[in-house]
Amino acid sequence: MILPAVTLVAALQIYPTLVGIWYAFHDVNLARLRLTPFVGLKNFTSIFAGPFPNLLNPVVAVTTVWVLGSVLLQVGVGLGLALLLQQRWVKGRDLLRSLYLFPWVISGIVVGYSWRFIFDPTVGLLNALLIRIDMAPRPWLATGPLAMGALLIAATWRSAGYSLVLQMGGLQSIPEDVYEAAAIDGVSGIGLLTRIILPLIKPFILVNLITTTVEALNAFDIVLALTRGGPLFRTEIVSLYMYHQGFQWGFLGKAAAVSVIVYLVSAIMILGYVRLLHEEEAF
Amino acid sequence: MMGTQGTRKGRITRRTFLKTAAGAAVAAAPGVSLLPKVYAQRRTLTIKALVRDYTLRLESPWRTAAVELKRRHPDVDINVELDGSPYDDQRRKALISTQAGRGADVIQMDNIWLGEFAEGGIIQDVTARFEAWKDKDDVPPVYLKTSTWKGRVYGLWLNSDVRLLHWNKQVFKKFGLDPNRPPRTWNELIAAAQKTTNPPNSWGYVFPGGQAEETVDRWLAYLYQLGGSVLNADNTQAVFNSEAGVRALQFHVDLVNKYRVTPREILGSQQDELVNALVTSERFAMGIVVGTGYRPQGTGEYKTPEEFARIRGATILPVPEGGRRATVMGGWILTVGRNSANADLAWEYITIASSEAYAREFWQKQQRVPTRKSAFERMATYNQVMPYFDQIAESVPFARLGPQVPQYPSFLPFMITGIQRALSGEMPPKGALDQAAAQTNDVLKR
Repeated sequence: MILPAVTLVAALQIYPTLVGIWYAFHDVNLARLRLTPFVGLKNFTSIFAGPFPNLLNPVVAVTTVWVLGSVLLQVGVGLGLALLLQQRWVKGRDLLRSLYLFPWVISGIVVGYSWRFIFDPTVGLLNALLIRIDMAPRPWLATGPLAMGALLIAATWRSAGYSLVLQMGGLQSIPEDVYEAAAIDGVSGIGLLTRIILPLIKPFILVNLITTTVEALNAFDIVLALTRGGPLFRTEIVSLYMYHQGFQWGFLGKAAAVSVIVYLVSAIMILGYVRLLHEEEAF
Repeated sequence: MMGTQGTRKGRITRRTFLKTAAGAAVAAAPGVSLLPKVYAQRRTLTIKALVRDYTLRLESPWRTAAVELKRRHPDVDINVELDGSPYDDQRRKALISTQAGRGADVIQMDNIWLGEFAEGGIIQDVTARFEAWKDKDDVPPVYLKTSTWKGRVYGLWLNSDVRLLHWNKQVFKKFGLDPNRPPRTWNELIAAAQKTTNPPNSWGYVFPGGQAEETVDRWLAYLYQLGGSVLNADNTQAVFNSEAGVRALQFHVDLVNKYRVTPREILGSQQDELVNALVTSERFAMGIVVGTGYRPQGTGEYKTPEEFARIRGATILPVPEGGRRATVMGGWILTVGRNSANADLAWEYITIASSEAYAREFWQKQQRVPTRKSAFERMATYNQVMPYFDQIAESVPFARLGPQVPQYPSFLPFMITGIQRALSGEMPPKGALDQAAAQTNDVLKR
C-alpha cells in the first residue's frame, strides 16, 4: 500500500539529496558533466576559505542579517497589524486583512522587480520623488546597508500579511472572558500584551517563526531581482551564492557543498523549533 | 466469440476473400501504387533550435529560414521547433539539456561561451561542413576567427554588436556645446561631461557599475584602447592588471570620484535601466551603448531613424591620448548541438538563417550588426534603416571580443568585484585588479 508513496519520496527527495551529496565531494562543472573527479573535502574548504565571496566573507554574515531582519520584521509587523485589526473601532477588518495578504500571493520575482523600480538609485521612483521635494537622493541599492534595508522592506511588504493572518488566528482563539477578567483586574495596554496576549498566542508565534525562518533561508527570487547580491556581494545570501556558484560560475560541486551545509543548518534549526513546540504543548 | 466482420462461423466469406486478394495483388505488383511515390517515401525530421527570445519577434531569421529549408527538401517533412529563452536560461538550457542527451539541434551561443561549449563537447565541430560550404567566403575574417576554437570551426555568427558612444544632442545644445560634435578623445569626453553635469538631475556620462558582466564589458573597451588584454596570448595567465588595465580603470574611477560626472549610484543600477534613461530622457548626456540606442521595437520614442538622428548621436568611442581606436564587440554564434541526429540539416538551417537574405530583416529591424560581407557591401540600404550604420561599420574592424576561454564565466566575478571595489573607493585600481588577477590565475591553473 505504501509502495507508491515510498517510490515517490525516493525518486523526488532521497535520490536528488544523495546526488547532491555525491556532487559535493566531486569536481562537477555544468559544461563537462562526464568528467567529475573525486576531490574529497576540497569543495567545502573552498566555499569557506576560497576567494571572495565565500561563506565566511561575507555570505554567512549577510545571510544572518537577512534572516534575522526578515523574521523579526515580518513577525513583528504581522503581529502589530493583527493587534491593530483586532481593535473594535477598526472597520472593514476582512477587507483590510485581504489587502494585507494580497502581496503574499505575488511571485517573489515580480515583487523584486517592482521594488527595483522604486529603489533604483539612478532612475528609481524614490529618488525622483526626493529630488522633486528638494531632498538629496540616496544611494539605495548602491551601498551594502541601504541595499539590505531595501531588501528587508520589500520582503516585509510581501510577507507581513501572512504573519498577520496567522497571528489574527491566535488572537481570535483567546476567549473574550480572558479580556474581561483582565479588565476587572485592571490589566491593560502593555501589561495586557506582555502578560496575557503574548503568552497565550506563543504557539502561533512559534509556528510563524519557523515558517518565516525557512522562507528567509530559502529566499532567492526577490534578492535576485532586486540586488543580484550586489553591491560587492553585500546582499549575497546563501541561496543566491549557491545559485551563482552552480549556474553562473559553473561550479556545481561547490554549489552542492553549499546546499549540504544549508541542509544541515536548516535541519538543526527545524529540530530546535520542533523541540520548542513540543515543550510548549507539554506545558 | 466469432463475430469478426467478414467471417461466418469461422469461414471466410466470398466478398472478404475477393477484397483481400485484390489488395494483396495491388501491393505486390512492382511499380504499381495508388499513392504518389514521393508521398510513400516521405519521412519526418524535427530540428529543435534553442534560440534567444528576442530573435523570435520577427519572422526573420528563424521562420523564414525554416520555410526555405522545407522548400529545399520537398521529400522530407521538416518540423522546426523554436524554443526562445532569456540570456541566463539560454546557457543553462543548452548545457543541461545536452548533458541529459536531449539537447537541441541548433544552439544559439553567446560568443564568450565558445571555449566552454567547445571544450565541453556541447557543440559539434563543423569545420568539414564549413570548408565544403559554397558561401564560406561571405563570412568576414573577424567572424570566422571568433567562431574558431583551437583551429576548428564551431559555427556561424548570426549577429554581432559593437559598443558606441551615445550622446544627447539636445542636452549638448542646452549646455552650450556643439550638438554635432561628439568628443573624440578621453579629455574631450571629460570636458563635455563636466559641462553637461548638473546633479542630481543631469549627469555628463553614465556607464553600468552593478554586479553584472556589463560592468566589465565597458571597462574592456578602454583597456583595449590602451593596448591591454584580459589574458596573455596562450590564455594561461591574467594580464588585465597591466598598466593599461589600471589606467583604464582609473579613468572610470576618476569619472565617478574625481570629475564627478557619473553618479556613484551606478554601483546599484543595472544596464537596462541606465540605457533606458540614457536613450529616452535628458538625465544623462553621454554613455556607452550596445549599438546606437535606436530601438524601433522599443518604447517608440523615435518613430524613424531620421527623428532619432536629429535628437541623438552615436559615434566611435573616444580614444585616450596616445591610445588607439578600439571597442568591444559581442554577439551570437549559431552552432550544431552535440545531440543532433540531423546535423547536416541543422547546419544547412543555420547557413540559411544567418545569410544576408534571411537575416536582413532581423538585423535591420532589431538594429543588430550584420555578420556577412554581402551586408556591408550594401551600406546604402542599411544606412536608410539603421541610423549611424556607417559608425558601426567603421567600428567593426577594430572591435574586440571578451575572452572566449571556458573559464571566463568562472573568473568574471573576480573582475566585476575588482572594478566595483575601485569604483566604490574601497581599494585603489591597481590593488583591486591585482587581487582579481591572482584569483583569475588560480582558476586558469585548474
